[in-house]
Amino acid sequence: MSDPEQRQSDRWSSPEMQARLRRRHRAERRFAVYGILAIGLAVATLGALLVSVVSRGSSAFYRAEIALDVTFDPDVLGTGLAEMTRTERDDTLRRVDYTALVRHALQKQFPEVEGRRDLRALQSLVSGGARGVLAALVSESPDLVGKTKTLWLPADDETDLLLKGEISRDAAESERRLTDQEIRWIDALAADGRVRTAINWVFLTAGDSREPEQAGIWGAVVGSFLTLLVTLAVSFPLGVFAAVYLEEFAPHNRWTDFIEVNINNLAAVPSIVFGLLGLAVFLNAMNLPRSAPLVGGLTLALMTLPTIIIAGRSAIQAVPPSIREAARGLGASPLQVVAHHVLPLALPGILTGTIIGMARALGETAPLLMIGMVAFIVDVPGGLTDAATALPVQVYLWADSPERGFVEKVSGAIMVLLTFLLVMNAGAILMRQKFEKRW
Amino acid sequence: MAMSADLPAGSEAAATDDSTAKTTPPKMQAVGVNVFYGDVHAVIDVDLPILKDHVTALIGPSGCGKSTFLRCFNRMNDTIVGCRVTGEITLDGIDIYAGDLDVVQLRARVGMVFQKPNPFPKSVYENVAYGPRIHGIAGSGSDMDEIVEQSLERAGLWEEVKDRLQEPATSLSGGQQQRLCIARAIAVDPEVILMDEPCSALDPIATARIEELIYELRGRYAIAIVTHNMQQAARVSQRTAFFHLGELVEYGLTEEIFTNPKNDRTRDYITGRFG
Amino acid sequence: MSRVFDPILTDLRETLLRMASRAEAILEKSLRSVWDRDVQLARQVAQDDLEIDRLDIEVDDKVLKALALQAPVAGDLREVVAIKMIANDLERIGDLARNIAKSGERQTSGARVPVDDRLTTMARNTQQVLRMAIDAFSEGDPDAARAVLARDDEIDAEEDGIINAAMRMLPEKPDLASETVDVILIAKNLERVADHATNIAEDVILISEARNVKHAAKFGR
Repeated sequence: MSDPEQRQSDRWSSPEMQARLRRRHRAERRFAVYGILAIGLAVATLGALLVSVVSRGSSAFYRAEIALDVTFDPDVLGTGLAEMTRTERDDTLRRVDYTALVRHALQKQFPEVEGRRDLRALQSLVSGGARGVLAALVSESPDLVGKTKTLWLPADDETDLLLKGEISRDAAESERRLTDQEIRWIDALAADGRVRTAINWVFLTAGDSREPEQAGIWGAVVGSFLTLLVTLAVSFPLGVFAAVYLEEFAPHNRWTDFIEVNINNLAAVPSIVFGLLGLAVFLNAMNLPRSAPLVGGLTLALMTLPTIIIAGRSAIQAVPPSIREAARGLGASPLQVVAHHVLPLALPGILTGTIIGMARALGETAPLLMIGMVAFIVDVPGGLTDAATALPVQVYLWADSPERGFVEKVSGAIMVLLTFLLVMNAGAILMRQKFEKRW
Repeated sequence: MAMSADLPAGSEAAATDDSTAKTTPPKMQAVGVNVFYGDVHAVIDVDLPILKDHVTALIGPSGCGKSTFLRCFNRMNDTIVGCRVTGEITLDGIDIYAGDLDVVQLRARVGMVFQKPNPFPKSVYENVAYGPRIHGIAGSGSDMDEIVEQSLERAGLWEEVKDRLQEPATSLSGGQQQRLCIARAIAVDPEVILMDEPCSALDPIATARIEELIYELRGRYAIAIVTHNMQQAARVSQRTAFFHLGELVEYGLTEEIFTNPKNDRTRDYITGRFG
Repeated sequence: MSRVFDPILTDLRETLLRMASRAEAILEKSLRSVWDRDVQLARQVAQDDLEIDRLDIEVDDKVLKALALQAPVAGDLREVVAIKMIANDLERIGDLARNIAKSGERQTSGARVPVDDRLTTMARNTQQVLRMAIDAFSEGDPDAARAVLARDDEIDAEEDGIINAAMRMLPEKPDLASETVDVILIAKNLERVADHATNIAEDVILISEARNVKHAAKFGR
């Protein structure tokens, strides 16, 4: 090798260079480790959240049931039910005292129990929801009158909690809701094989209730669904058209800059402010029905609009100008350029923004509280103007309740909320993938 | 001993071109065209005809205003903020900058092919069909199929894509994509095709194919091509216009410009002494 | 862009071949005018030469245009340049034929010079090598071209022989002096025609083999 070549080769193999190389490799490895640590931390946090929610909420999906031999006493139910029409039957049955049937069944199990107070205590083991079960049975098959059947009836929430291990048997009697006597009864039933845990369909199909064991999430699910439907129907078209106009058609001057700054600020405004706006405009000024998904949806739409507009503008800006030029060069009008070329290409980005906006809308409680969706609603809402509640609000209400039975329901409701969110996002991502394939 | 006799100028082909040009009016004519980007005077007082059935090449060093000038012919400069065009440009005698002229229709009659191939992210078929569809030239069905096939044939692409019409246009090679863009422009049956450095993003083989295509297309359309490759202009065009610093320095028969340019600047540019 | 260049090259070749057939024709005519002592024919030769000159200018223009506009390379470039060189040779052959015809115009006496036979042979050979050279170009055949190169010495020898014989005759037959001088002139012109044919053959080899075999004797190619 010649002299300059030798010098070059020496330079690269000198000890200083080696040391520098080693330092650099170490720095790169450190950087990789930091990245993995960060991801690990995020995953661990998420995992911890999910584990805590699921461990506390999974018990909400099953409940304790007690098997009792119920005699369908014609004295209690009345006669001639089989000849009536369904509606007549339902009318008649409405006035029946089903608790008597339950009481008799329980007495059959524990004939030694006497005295009104003890009997009431015994009765309290079974949920009030048993009434509905019996009523539905008799209405369905009136020929049951006079017969005796063994039925699995829902247990009261205290019984339920005991069987789930939530109530400590070791605590002093005054510190728990169940007396020793009640516990003994329950154990006797259990020894007799008359106690089981089954899937709690009520949780998924019923509306809210004062009694924890009868409380369900379905009312809140429908309420959330209707609210989000309104939010999507209002904010998506408005947001997309606003984004298109601002990007493609509006002149670029101080006014449009001013608008852009304001939209960005709106996206950061605390959501409760939108609730106040909804209260003032939709409820007070426009007199729309309180607590309705329509109002909730409109309020949340105002909140989601800036997110969609910002994401939409970004997605539209990302469409390469060469496509627009090509379309214009062929003689497409500005509207055709946007509709045929820009929007289809910007749609994946717009949908991403919509997903983010809708996910936020699903979980926002504050604005809904302001417009009154915090009321105690038992019925599942049938339309946009019926009173309703939403999933996050339901979580808040149950979390606020004193009964211990609602603790597991809170986590159960959170699980349902997360599932709802997952399904919604999955749907949107599928749609986005369908459009992205076109590339 | 040998006597020089009267000889016709150049070859017979050039003689025919020249005589046609003298009798028919140009398809498009620019008169006194100036283009300003804000305060910058990019194109200075240019008069230039675009002849039917001819290829007119616009050559010149980078930044001399040839692309800007080309884009005046289909009013693509309208979309650029701050761009002002003065002067007159006529298509078959009608000023295209007149207030009541429909730009959309203009661009169907004066098509454009760009420097970097820019097919739509749709299928090959849809790319070619888009223009006829929006101008109402054909609906779907066999009418459109015919137009698509004919356009692809004329662009020399049919054989290569006839079995792949539904595949995305972006799956074609660069040269094929550019020919697709040409087919797309042809599909609306324009009268003039403007080409802005159509080969500069392509490899030599693809370039050669497109040059042959351009040479063939001149029989049907009036073609104006901007190119920074002088040899390409010499090969492909019958008329050449040399631009420098926004001015049209020389315009004439291609063979004359390349064998005996009249202007010193033209001569220096062509012989590679600057630019 | 072969679709554009090929017709240009074909047209150039055809122009050259037209020029070549005229050169052959003019040579034949001029020789005939000498042999038949046809003064009318001799005068026509001047017109024919004009035609060759016109074609020469046409080839000039076409070659220039092809080089400027098409920028050919490799074989195409050699062929275009060689065609110009061959055109030069053919143009000179036209001029030489005119010289031969002039000698023919002067031959009014009708006397025959004894070396006539050898001149006839030389003329035929010359026409032959010209034909061979042109055919070699038309076919693109370097071997046929080499056959032309091989005959050059033979024709030179014939020229020497005729001139020596004529020189010896001059003092013996002084009344045929004019005719004898014409014989010498015709022989010299024929030899130069053969030289040009040799040049043409060398150009053919340049086109097909990219080898320049000119002045072979001096450079030992």
